[in-house]
Amino acid sequence: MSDHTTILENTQAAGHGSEEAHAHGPRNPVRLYTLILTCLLILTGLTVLVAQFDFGDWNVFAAMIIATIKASLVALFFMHLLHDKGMNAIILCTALVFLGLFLSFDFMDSTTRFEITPANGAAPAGSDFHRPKNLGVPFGGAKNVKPPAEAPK
Amino acid sequence: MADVISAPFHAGTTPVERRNYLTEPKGLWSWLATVDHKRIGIMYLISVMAFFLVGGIFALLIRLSLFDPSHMIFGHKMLDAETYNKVFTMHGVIMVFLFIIPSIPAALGNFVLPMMLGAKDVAFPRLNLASFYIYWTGAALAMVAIVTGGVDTGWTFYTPYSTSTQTSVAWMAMGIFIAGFSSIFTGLNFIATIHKLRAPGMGWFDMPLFCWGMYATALMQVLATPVLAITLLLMTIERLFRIGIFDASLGGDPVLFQHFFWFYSHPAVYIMIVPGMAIVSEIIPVFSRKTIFGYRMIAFSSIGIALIGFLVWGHHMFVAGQSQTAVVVFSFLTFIVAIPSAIKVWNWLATMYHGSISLETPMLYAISFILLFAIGGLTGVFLGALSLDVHLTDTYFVVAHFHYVMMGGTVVAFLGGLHYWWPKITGRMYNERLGQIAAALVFIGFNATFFPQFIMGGQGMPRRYYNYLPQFQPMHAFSTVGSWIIGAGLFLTLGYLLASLRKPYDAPDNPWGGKTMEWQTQSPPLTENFEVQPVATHGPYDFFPVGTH
Amino acid sequence: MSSISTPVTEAHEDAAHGQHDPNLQHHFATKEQQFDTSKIGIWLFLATEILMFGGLFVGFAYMQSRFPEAFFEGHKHLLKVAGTLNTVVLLVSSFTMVLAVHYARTSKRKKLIICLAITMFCALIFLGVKYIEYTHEFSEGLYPGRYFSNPDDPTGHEFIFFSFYFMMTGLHGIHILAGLCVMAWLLRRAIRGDFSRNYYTPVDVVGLYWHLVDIIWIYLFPLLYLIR
Repeated sequence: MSDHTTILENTQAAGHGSEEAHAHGPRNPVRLYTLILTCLLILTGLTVLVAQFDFGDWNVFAAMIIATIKASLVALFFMHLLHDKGMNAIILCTALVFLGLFLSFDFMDSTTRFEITPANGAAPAGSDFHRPKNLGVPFGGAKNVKPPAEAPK
Repeated sequence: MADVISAPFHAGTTPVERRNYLTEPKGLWSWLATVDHKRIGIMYLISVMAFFLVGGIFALLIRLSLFDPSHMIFGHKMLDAETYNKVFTMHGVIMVFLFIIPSIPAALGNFVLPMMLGAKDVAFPRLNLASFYIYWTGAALAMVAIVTGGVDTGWTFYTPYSTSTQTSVAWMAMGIFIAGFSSIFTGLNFIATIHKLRAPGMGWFDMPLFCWGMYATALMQVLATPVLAITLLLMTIERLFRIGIFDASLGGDPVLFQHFFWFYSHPAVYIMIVPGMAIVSEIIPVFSRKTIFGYRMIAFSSIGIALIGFLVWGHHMFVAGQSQTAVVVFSFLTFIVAIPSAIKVWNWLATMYHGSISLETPMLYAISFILLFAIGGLTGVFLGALSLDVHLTDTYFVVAHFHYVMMGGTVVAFLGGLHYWWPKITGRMYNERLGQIAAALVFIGFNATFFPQFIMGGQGMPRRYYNYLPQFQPMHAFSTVGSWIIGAGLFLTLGYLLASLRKPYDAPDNPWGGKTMEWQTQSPPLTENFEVQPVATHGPYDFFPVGTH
Repeated sequence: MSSISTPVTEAHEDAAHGQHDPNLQHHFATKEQQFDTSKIGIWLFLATEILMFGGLFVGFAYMQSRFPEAFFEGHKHLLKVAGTLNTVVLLVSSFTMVLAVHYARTSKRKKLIICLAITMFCALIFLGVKYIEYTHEFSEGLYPGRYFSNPDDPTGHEFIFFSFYFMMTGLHGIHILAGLCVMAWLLRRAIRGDFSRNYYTPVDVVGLYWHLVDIIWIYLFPLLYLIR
């Protein structure tokens, strides 16, 4: 039977036996990747710069935003998500959504608990915590540690 | 329509030893190094049955020890308290991680899924084999834990006890950590297979509902199991290094461990039940000779259970120390997750309604599933109500609930699927009369074992307790006798299934008249599944209603 | 519904016709189907890595919210220059890795080999810098958990910060090492001439893994080294 031979030839002819099913993709990849690397390096510098300033509660937020921009650049261009079939991006986004669920539900719990204040006026549990001593030190102990000049506050 | 694609079996001719995946290639190495999904499925099947036996023996030991508050039965003293703690822990760990989670997906799913899709194999056959060996590596470490003294924390490994007890927690944690990757890779394989290897003409809504169930299960395996991995890693490192994340004396939070643990372990219970539902969705239409009612609703409900199942884990922690806000949110979401499961039950019943029902063993198990899962699922909703859970948590009510869904649900469905596909897998028919007797024994024994436990739990009998008040003795004794009846049914099943293997191939290619693709090829199948690439020309449940055609 | 029927015995006929492609596995119908499936497979694996590392990030965030001063004091001991250098090194390695994929896809074997080699070299630099950091930290008694012995700890909880620091950078380092090993295998195959525009899937897939390892560091670096 010659049917399957023709089908195979057609398949090969259509894709030139190559794995690139579609012709679209970055026009000049090397230039694009170099541009993205430059942006990433600039953003890294920005991250370090921003960390010099204190924005209070927004510190983590600022750092995370810049990190997310960098991660997005890597994902979209270095990992080809922009030009790939959509399924790959859906997989990535799904993982991030579920991670977000885990994080947000945990914090929903921890931020809405209340401190148990003992009725006899004692301090809340854990507030006068002293780290247990003598838990063991490996490798003969720390070499560069100077004993504290005065007791810590 | 050309259903039969391979050489048909003609009734009345002598059974012929046809070339199939069992007969060639030959040799032990050809099995150990196989990438054939069917052979890998068989190896998983043997493995999970072995662990079911071990876990079952532990269960029998537990029930023997609880027959009487004196822990004596027939003049023999059973387990002492320390050993008892270890035995119920081992029972849980082995059953959950080494039996139930891999049972339907890795054993039956591996065998049947590619054939149902009209494919020659799963997407990544070598990864499939790797999954099997990873599973055994994890199991080996778990066995090291057992022989080096066992674990007594309960399968839930709650801190701070698990991070301070002197038993072999680290070995067990590492064993489960590794076995988890087996589950992840199986899920990964199935997702890719279902996306990319469906036969020509088979769209998403033309594939059998078993495949939808496997897809939903695989989603959960891929998304949830990694969190188990990091949980076990953190728990082990906490044991070794006292890093202070879960231990309150170091400033950590034991409730955080429970968040980590249950973020996986709740989807895990859906990983256990959804494949069972998937099997029931296959059996009911075939044995009712009627197309499934509400195909899309069942398909979407599988996905719905998978997704919503990620949002309810806090219902295992209602009294653990979460905030009021959290418990209310989790309770509400728990009520929601019951809905897709209920949808399936209604659809199965609607399928059976006015169908032409035949009560062979697979159908007996499927009907048992509907009854037992209904009880198990509804009692889950009771537990999801905060006010009830305060009284029922950590009692035998919970034990009964999860055994109804895991055993009355998943194990019963597994047995149903095993019987349904036995002719396809082995080419032999099992003894139908014995099958029906065993199914009845399992059903009766199961209810005898676990229904009293609902009552005991409601009356306050705590779970995992070695000692109990004399008022509970009659129900404990009844439950123990029930466990013997289950044992009898299961050993009978093992017996007649093994006995069937000694016969020559006597099973027709399609003994049940199923319409899905695995039935359109020979029993047992060829190594390459199909002689010619099948094309989907009709739906998976195209039975004609009674009275037409 | 199509009426394509592709006999499974086609492979044998292809050999006769000289059209059998050794890189096309038997259960796939076309190279494109195989390639797309491999991409889905690796992205699913990356999803599991995101959730696993993500668990560590959740634990970090949780404990940091309980002991913000301890985490702030703890991070002061870290070598920010080393961390920044490592960030740059990994970004460059991501760049050379994606170039390697591009050269594999365009059948430029020599450039592929060079880019793979540079990527591996960057990985080695990363591990070397981490070694220097770790030895510095150990010499100051900054160990995880029970072994923490630095006396300059006003909060008493710095050991928790260092527990997370070592766990997260340690797990990340293990992934760098694993990537290095896989790239060595890839390099050997590239030298052998296995990759071309007809078949470059392994390079693409390893590249995706490497980029994820880079992305994880992109988040680790500010959280551990730069928090205020």
